[in-house]
Amino acid sequence: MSYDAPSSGATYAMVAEFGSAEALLDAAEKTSQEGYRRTEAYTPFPVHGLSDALRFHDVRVPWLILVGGLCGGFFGYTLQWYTATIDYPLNVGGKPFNSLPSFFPVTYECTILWSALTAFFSVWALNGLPRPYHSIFNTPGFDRASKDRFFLAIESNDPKFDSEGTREFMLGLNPVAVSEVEE
Amino acid sequence: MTTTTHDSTELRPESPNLGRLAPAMSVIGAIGLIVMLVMMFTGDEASRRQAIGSYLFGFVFWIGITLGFFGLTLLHHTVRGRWSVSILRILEAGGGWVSIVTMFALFIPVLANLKVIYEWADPDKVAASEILQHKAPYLNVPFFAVRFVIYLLLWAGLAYFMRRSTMRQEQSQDFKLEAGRSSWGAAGMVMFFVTCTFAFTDWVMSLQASWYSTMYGAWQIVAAVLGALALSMYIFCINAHKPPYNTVWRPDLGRDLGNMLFTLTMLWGYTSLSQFLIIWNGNLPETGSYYIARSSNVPLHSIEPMTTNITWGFVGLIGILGQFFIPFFALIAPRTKKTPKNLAKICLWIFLVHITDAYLLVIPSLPGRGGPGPISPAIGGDILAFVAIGAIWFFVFGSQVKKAPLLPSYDTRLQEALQNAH
Repeated sequence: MSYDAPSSGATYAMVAEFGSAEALLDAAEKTSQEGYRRTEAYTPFPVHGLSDALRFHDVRVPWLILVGGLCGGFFGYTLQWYTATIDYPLNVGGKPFNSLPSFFPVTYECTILWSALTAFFSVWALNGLPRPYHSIFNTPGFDRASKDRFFLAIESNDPKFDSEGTREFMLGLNPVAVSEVEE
Repeated sequence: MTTTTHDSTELRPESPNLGRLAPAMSVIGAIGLIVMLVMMFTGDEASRRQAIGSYLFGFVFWIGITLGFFGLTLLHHTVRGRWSVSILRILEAGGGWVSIVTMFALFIPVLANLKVIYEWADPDKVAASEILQHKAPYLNVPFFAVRFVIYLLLWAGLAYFMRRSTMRQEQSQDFKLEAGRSSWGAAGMVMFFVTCTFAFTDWVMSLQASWYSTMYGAWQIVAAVLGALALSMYIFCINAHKPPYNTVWRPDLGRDLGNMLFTLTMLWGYTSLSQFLIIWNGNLPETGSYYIARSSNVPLHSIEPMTTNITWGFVGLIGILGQFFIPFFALIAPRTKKTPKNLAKICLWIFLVHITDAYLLVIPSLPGRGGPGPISPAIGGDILAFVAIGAIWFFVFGSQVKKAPLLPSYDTRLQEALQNAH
């Protein structure tokens, strides 16, 4: 299947198609060992160990979540502290206005809420979503990536990428098909 | 690790000898127990009371570890977890029927002296207190003993049948046995939570008979299982480089085990804080007494004769920081869970802090022990009882762990996962 895409004629990636998750894992490992780093895999279901095989290591989201959670906790506590001790002090059962134990549930919930929201939005933002157009869909037969086929792409901006050499290399990985995909 | 052959069905003779400490432990345990028995049954009333209190602390800690091992075994059978296959034989050895029966036998000296430390067992104190009279239909010596026997039969019985089933599957490789354990395990876990709630209420909560908390059972089960998982994982991690454990260790397994420890750490924090929060907000004298007895620098008129030297709050602080914040941030980091060495360190830490947690739980509730604070002359007896009962526990563990291969031969999912990764 092909899409009517605005073609600049430039190459986006060399994409190999595989029939099984094992074949893809094997190919991904060899691709990483060959020194390719700008790689991406597309599979119908999560494949265990694939991110390791692709040397994918991105810890930005966990750290963003930690920062988001800490900000949420700070916000939750400050809000209660301000309302209960500055803005509208109210004597509840003779307890101090600034009561850590009774402020704890809201502080905790705010931490969780802000962590979850940070996780949700940072995943979208860091993945560049929403994205109505992506070159990978120019790959012939790519709709099967959500059914029964496994795709491995070496993107053209990889320093080691060269059309002929990369095609030769990918053909050596025992794929079902290899195609050069346009931007 | 890559040079090891993965023949998972073969039993390995060169495996680590987890029972090598058993002979030394039997000697330490026997001497310690004899000294404790002499202290508990001779001397004046005050010193006997002190010895029985110390002994109860040692018992409560180690029965908690035993029950934690037993509960984790039930969890493993119920959900048929892959991660827990690695520690199953350690759990079975420490939480098996032999351990349970041994711990119950060790409670008999307390059972013979109930009225020395439990106010509800002392007829004079009951006659003087209307609250205790109201609680007498439940808190009385014969019914306490009956419940004690019921716990023993239920726990030791279930542990016995579960162990017999795994040993049979070891021979026959029959998967039906595993499916049966899964069903019985689910029912067993319900029974476990209900009976443990009653047991901890009987043995520990009733020390302060006028105090009560509905979170108590769940809280103590979580604390015990946390300490037990830390200990069993520690034993596993320090031997992870030896066969047969090196046929299953990989970072994924460490992550799974570490995440379970992380979950229990959070559950411990959740249950501890919930109980405190509810009691703090309620602000009632009878429910507050538990925390007042464990606070620093508060005037204490309502509790028994008190001195001003009350530093229990520091022990509580060790719990907040050491049992929650430090493990929380240590276990949230992937690198902690990647190597057995790092994981062993945090497991040992959690186990050691769990001792202070149990200390804070039991000691301030004992008659005459709250006032002098955590470091008093009586701490020698506490340490002796802890070591003596612990040594007996390790002796039983060591003799039980030798009776089965360290990894079940019928469940090779971990070995297969490791082979696929290569």
